[in-house]
Amino acid sequence: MKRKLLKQISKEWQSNLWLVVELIIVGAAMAGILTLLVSTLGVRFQPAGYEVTDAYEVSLRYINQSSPDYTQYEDKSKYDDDVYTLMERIRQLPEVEHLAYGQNALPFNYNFNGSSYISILDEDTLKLGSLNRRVMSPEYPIILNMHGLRGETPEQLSKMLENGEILVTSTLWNNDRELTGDDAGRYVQKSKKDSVLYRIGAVIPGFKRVDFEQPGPAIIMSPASRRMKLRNVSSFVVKLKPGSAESFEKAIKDNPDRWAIDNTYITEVTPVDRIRSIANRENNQQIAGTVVCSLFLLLSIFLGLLGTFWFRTGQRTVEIAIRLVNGATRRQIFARLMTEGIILWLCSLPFISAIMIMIYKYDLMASFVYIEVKKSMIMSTCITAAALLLMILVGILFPAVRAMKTDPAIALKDE
Amino acid sequence: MKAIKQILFDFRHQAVISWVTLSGTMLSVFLIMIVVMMQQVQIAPFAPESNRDRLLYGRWMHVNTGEGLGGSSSSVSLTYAHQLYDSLANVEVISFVVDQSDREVASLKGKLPMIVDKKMVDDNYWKIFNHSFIYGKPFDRAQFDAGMKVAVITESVAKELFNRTDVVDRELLLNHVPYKVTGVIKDVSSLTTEAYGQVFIPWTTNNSLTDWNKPYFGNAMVYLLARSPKDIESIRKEVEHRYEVLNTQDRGDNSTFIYHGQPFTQEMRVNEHGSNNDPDIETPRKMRYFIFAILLIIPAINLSSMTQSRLRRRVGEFGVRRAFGCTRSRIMLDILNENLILTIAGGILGVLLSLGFTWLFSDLMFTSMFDDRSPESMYITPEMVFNLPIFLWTLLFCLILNILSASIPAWRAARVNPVEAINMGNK
Repeated sequence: MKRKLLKQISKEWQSNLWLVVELIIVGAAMAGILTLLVSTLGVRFQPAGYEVTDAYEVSLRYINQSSPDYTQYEDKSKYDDDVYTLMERIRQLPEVEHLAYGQNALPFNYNFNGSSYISILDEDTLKLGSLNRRVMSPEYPIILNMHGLRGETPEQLSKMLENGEILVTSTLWNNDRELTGDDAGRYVQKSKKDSVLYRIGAVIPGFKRVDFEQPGPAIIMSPASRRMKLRNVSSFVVKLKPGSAESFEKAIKDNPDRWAIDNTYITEVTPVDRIRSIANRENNQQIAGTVVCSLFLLLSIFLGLLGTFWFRTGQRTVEIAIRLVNGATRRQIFARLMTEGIILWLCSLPFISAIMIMIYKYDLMASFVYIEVKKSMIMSTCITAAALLLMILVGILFPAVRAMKTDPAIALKDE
Repeated sequence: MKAIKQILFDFRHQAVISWVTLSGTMLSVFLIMIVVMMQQVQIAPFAPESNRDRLLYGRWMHVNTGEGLGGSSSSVSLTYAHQLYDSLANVEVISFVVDQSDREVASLKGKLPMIVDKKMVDDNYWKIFNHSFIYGKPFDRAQFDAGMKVAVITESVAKELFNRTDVVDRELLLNHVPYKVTGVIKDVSSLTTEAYGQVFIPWTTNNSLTDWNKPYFGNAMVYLLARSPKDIESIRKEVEHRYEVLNTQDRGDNSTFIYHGQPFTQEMRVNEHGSNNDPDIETPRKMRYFIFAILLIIPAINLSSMTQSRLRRRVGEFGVRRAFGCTRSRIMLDILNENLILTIAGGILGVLLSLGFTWLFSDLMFTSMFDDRSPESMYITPEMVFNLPIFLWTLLFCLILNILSASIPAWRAARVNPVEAINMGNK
């Protein structure tokens, strides 16, 4: 029966050729799309270098000079006092566990405050390249739940920043090599002529700017190291006790006078989760678009096979009736149609695989796929093949069931 | 009429194949139109950015400060914005605004404040973007030059602060500074990135347009309204020439200005990648054409075999018609016409589905640069997605799909020998 099936397939070669061509085009397109998806998700689930939960960003503003509510300060350092006082008031709220401030500290944006550093130890000069400089007050590593490569806890990292030490990521650009935990204790400087030295307290894993970006290089310093003044703070971050977000927001909104000192006042509080989800929005949208495209391609296959095999079943009614009369079981009729679809699927697989191999060989997706290209492509090709097979089986199912139900007496009455 | 009767006959006697054909067309057109709409929202003109087809943007400055020392790039200073963009031929209106809007605290005495997106503009801004004024009018040149504290606000801001919208001449506080309302406009979707704002004030009120890194960099943004879309290229060439002239001048710092194609058209603006790169419009275009090709070819293959299947049953009919003198081209044309009606029906359903999908899931499809601050301001208006270019695109894709899916089956059907056709029909 199988030999005759192959003969039958070859007799309908034109129609089957179109089906195979369609499977190849859809398969290659879908494998390409899924490669992007697998790569994107691969990057998404790489460790970020931090974890943030129950955190809020508190925004500050300063009253403009032209406002009638403006208070003339004798000294600009009064702004530092205002900010300090406001932060202490926030810290005393029962919901608040930790509070921190900085510059370019909170992730979930594409800021890059690039600065190049080197590290000299004896005769060895290590180029660290351009690092994303982040200024973090000591409690930031606790709020972001950061850890060192040698297992340093957030509290230990916090202590290092308090002592004026710095944290550097193992991930570097334009570097001689990646840093390891043993590089803690080295000193870094901007150039050989720069006399300002910073001691590396700990080496930390790569630090992501946003979830959909690979972990990148960063150098983390305390505000004291950068001589940063509190008056330059436009926002700070608080970590709340679990489940206290609502009461925290209420405490801020209900008593606005408490959160204003002369020219300095708190304007709004924003959950860090919201900042994060908005930063991820465009990428999430792309993922949704990828999934929709893939579903469309599968639906196209389904409709095409449904229509083609429905017609074929109609055309082959007499043939099916004769088979039934000659002893074929209904299951065999069903299986024959399904097998036909599987053979078409098998015919398309080598071509789909060949296209993906060529894409890999000529690096055609290099600018879109960032990690483990080979692994992503293999995975996506396998998923594509499985999805196509599923669609073929589902698409042929209804015509096959219809064929199974052929009544030989009715089908052959006009013969 | 005959074609419609034939289609209805097919639906009665070949229901599955006919519905599969219709569904396949509908799905294809639906997805294509989603891609078209996503692009149209960014590029096509609609209020208040009705002049997108003749609008140019000048924003960045990229300066190389000597061999081997690298370059810097950022928003252009007001000084150099004037040098590059003032008095250009074929420019109808020029507007200088502060690049990017700002979050501001808006309040009334004794009321809880609200955070608004504040945009700092000049008086010419209102001649370029056609906001709908519900009450009042925009601030004028005299108010702008005097740095008067006046503001135009949106109706939702008016309702939130004042509980009403007729609030012209009332005062609101922006960061505790009183501003008088001169006009109230309809809310603007943040998908119109240049026209979007909730409060608009003259940038002269607090000298917001500053050259923070003299002399090249500041926070200026320039809008140029060309007299007609045809003048865009001549304006851009004139600006390029000004770059060349500036580069012949000795400013004492070895600086060279690097030209990246400004001022940008709307399409370039949407595809710009930072202050030190040329916008890339070719890659997104190629990607779109590739997507269109996939979304047309795959259904066309399906529909072609569906059409082939449907036509096989009518072989006898074609044989009889040929025997009575009907030409091949006439048969082909009839088939194409029938298929076109079906394709257009599927296309209309696809467009309706895409409009409904866009309406319901706009936050899945679109993002705005203001998402991080005002996600609720991102919404679709009927004008964005329900316009002539969309319909023309739909018609075009239906025609292409029709030709791709029906031409070969129609040609083959028309070429069957009449005797064979009649015999096959009798079977």
